[in-house]
Amino acid sequence: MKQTTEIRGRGPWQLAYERLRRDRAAIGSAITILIAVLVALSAPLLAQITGHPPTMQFGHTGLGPTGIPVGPGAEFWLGTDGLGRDVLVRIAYGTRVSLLVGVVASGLAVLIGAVVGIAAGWFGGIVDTILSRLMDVVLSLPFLVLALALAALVGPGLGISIFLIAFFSWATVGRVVRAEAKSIREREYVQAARALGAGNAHIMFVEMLPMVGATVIVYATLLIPASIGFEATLSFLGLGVPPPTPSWGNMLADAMAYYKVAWWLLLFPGAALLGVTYAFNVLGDSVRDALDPKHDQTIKPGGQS
Amino acid sequence: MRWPRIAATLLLTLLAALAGCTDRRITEETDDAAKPIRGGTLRLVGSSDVDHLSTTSGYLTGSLWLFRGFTRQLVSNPPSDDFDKSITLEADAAIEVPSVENGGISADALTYTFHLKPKLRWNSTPVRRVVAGDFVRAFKLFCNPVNPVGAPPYYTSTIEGLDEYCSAMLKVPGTVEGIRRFVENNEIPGVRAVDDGTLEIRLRAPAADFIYLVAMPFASAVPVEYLDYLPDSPEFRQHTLSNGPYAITRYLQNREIVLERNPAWDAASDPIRPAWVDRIQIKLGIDPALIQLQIEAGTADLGFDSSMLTVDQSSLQAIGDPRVSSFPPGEHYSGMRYLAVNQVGPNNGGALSQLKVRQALALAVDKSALVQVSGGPDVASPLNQAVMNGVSGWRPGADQYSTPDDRGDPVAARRLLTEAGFPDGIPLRFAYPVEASYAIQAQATQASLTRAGFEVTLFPFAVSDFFGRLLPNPQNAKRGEWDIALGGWLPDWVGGNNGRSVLSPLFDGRQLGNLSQNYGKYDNPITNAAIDRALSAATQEQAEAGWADATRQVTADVGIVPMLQVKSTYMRSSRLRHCVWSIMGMQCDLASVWLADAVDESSNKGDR
Amino acid sequence: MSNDVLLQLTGVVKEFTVKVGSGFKRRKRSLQAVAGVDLSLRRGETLGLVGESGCGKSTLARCVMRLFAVDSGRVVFDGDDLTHASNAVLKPYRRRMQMVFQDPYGSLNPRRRVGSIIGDPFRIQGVGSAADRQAKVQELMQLVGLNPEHYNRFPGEFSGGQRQRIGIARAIALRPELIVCDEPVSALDVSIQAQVLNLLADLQKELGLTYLFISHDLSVVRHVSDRVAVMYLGTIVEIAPSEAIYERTRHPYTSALLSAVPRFEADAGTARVESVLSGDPPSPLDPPSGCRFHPRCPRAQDRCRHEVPVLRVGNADDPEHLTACHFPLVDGDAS
Repeated sequence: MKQTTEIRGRGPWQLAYERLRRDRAAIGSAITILIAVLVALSAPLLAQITGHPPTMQFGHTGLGPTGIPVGPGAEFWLGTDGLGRDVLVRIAYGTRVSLLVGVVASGLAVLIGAVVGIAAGWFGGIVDTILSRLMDVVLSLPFLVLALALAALVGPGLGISIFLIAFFSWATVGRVVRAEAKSIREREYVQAARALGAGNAHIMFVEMLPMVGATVIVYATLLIPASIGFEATLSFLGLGVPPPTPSWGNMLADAMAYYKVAWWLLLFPGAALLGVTYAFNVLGDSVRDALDPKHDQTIKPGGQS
Repeated sequence: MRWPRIAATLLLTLLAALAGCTDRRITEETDDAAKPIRGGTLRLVGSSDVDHLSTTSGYLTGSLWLFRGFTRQLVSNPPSDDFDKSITLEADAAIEVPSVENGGISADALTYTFHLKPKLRWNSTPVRRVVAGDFVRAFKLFCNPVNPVGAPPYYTSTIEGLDEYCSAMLKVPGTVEGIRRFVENNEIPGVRAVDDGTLEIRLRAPAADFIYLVAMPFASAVPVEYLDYLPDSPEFRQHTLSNGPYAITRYLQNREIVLERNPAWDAASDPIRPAWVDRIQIKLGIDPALIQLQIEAGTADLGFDSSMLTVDQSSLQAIGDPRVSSFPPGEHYSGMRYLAVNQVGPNNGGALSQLKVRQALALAVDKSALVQVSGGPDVASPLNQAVMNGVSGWRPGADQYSTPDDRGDPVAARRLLTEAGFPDGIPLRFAYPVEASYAIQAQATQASLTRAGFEVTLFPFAVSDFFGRLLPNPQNAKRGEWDIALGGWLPDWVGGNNGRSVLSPLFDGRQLGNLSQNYGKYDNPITNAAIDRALSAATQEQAEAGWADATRQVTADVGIVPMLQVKSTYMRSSRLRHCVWSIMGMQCDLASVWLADAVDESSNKGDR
Repeated sequence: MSNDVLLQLTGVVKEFTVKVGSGFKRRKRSLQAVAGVDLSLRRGETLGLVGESGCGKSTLARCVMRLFAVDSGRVVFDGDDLTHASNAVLKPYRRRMQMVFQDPYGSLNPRRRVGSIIGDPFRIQGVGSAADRQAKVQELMQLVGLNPEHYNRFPGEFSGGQRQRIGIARAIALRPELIVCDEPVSALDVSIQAQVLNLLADLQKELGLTYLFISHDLSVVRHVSDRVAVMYLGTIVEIAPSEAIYERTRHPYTSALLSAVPRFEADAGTARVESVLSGDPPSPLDPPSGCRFHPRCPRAQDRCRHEVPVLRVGNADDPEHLTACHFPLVDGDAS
């Protein structure tokens, strides 16, 4: 006998998704992020339409005789920068860098944080002590000072930026996940699994991981804008993505010199950065609210941001 | 999360931009011709402190500039907006500038005699005359083991017996007692106090530029009290003495320096320091971005250690802001930008050791684009010789590898690359310091090199890392950590016979060790010989000829790729008047400015 | 019922380290939750284990399951000493002994689908192929009275009784010999309790299971047990066949428990028996000397304060009935 309709339960995830779908702020920020993704994807298309590759310098049409950038107009829609490059095309390419760094770095941070947090919470004892101290140390490190030193040592680049951001972000996640794991460890379903002969891997990844999943997703969403900001900071200080590759951060850094005469250099990348990070933050908050309805005691709100 | 910090910076900058806009509407009368006013406090803001407060070792432009206030040299460059006047030495502590004509320089050009003005005073207790022995002490302390002189070869290679004196002194224990004992018991054969008012210096060989070396603040008089402290130690910095118009009354490291009038100073003995303001207050540790803003807002009068960003200056000049000044005046420049070319690196099979590849580099660079992004023709100009106009060796019409309109010649460059065996171009590691004008020039250079077939990858470095570690260490060049690097050079003094301060350190192939500034390890015996001729020339003309030969050879060899000669640009507050150029400080001379809103307190006092 | 002993506990001791006091006076103390328990389970029987909350019965259950390491004594399962067995050694035994937990909410991972939870035993023990599992899971669901089509649902979508059925399905999945039921119905409505108890009874018949049935509720225990053990402050004070413990109560504590039965049913979670006992229940941190029950015992005499009573047969006619009391009740003493 073949079942015609499969009875599939609406689990916590579906419920959260449905709550999210009714949240206007979440929809708005999701659309903003979607637009950013589309802009990132269509960057080469924009370059083709405008005829301005992102690193091409237009000394004649894009710069005044004393190097003053040209404002928004028919030729350069969002103006040019101090080297006569098209700001619009560079913002589009910068979106790629920002999203890539944001997603990869926070993904990495959340992955490391979740694994370390679960391991510390599950194993307890000396493992917990060592991992907890490690997290304390990482959290107390001065990010900028060390980032500057490391970037200077290794040389700036996309990879090192991602590594630095992930390295300085994972401990926040780890600490929260550890606290949750410690409480989950005492739950009867964990004992039930142990009674069945389950190994550490089963308990950590099958029993515990889904339980911290909500926290992990909320943190991932909130870490993305933080990571984009980190990358912008690093690039701003000349230690992120090396020029001439555009990133919002190094565009803003370049803009600092020209703000008196070229407001568009500050406004457009700044708006892109603020808009996208704000959208991710709003989405993160909404995801947290959706995953954390009052009656569900198993998810605790993220205490840190 | 970090993004709010960036947002705050943005907001701050936007606000500042708006504030700047309103401020700019206030029209300023240029009344430099009006009668100067005595009095007032000159307010300066800077990001970092002096490198040294001791004249023996202070070398940063800011330090040299500060020394104008509380030290005097035997001879000095007078501050002036007339370039030729500004580079012509005048008597300072000495009664006159020695010359063969006045008998100050012996006929064999080996002995220099300085007669000191009688009314030079230290502000010691009690007030005491500055004597020839104080200058002798300065030369003796050049090689103290704690903080030696900034540029030892200038003096060790010229003054008789100083090299030996130095070798011995560097072995002395670095203690107050050790240094004092050595200084009191050992004499430099070539430096002698004939009497309190007469100093005699003998040279190893003729050196036409020696008089300029004496004008450097390194050779300022050193009072006997300085032997009570380790050179430039924190204790020393609290006990500086002055023989200039001002004395340091407060020094808080990295925070504040205050200078006030030195009552022991005799104005009549010092024609090159009018010293209009009563007090000079320097606030340190200010964020570089804020320095500019404070000056624009009028809460500070000048920047202490920072040049203006070229882009700031070009944008302000574009709107005709009268508070912006570029130095030096006229068709002269204070610094140059060039590409150091690593000739000992292993990359691409040592391609850069081939002349044709270096020639391709020289031809490829679009120097007009660099001028454009560096503030335009008012402050920068294309450079097609290994040294800039204003350095001995530069000759009008001696340009090499120039291209039409200085736009670069990618076709010719590609052809040379092909002839050198690189038809597909070569990859290059291009290092540059992360500083606004360098960063933008590096990207403009990259664009023009790319057109000629070089695949250029940019490697940004923190400024201190770039000049402090990457370039000075020859191992980094040998390992090929960089192929080309964006360098800048400011001669220690502009004009005059200054090849020693440019061509020797940059192009002498026999000085390639640690800390050598010949970063690319260029070495050509023809050039070396020309440098030797210039250094040992008895007359200015012979020296200039030697420098010109050396420059022509380096340019032909593409020892570096010269790119730009640039001026220094500064902004001052609208109340600051008589901002005249001082070649030691490379900006407004602090002993010459006066304040439009100052109240003349001294004349009031006289009335009572 | 046979005399084949499936589980033998000998002198089992389990201690916990607890922190007491606060500030500078904070220090570590050792708490004996299980203080030397001897117990044997015969294949096929149901042994009821009763006692107040906090008497150590749940700890004992976890010692049996080797979820806790035993500090002293021996745990022997079907002749094999598992007292110090490693997890790896234990793994095959886990197929033969399973546990049903008290809290039907806490014992099921709320983020996992029911089918996956019930499938865990197969997955963890590596039994059957992935394809077989769904069929087996649905078969089990049917067996415990759940709609097999609901395997894709989450625990949150089931009632308490249904969840306990899920827990039971998980426990019996690998056809174990011994099931430790740790208060399996105490969290359920009275109306549901009977259904779950009946299910357990049916499964026992069908699958030949042996139960260690833990409860604080004597009436429940009486309903299901062949023999009953009474636990007080980490020790067994009386053990006897079911009818004997109710009909011929020997230990004063058992007697007090029996007189308090109605109150248990009314207020299951926080049951207290102080109404018929004198004095407060002593702290396990600081157990009384001699007979642990003496401060609250109406029959206590000086001997009880000094001498620890051992479990022994009181009446030769009743060799299955053991009591740890110096002055046991004789027939008819009980109220």
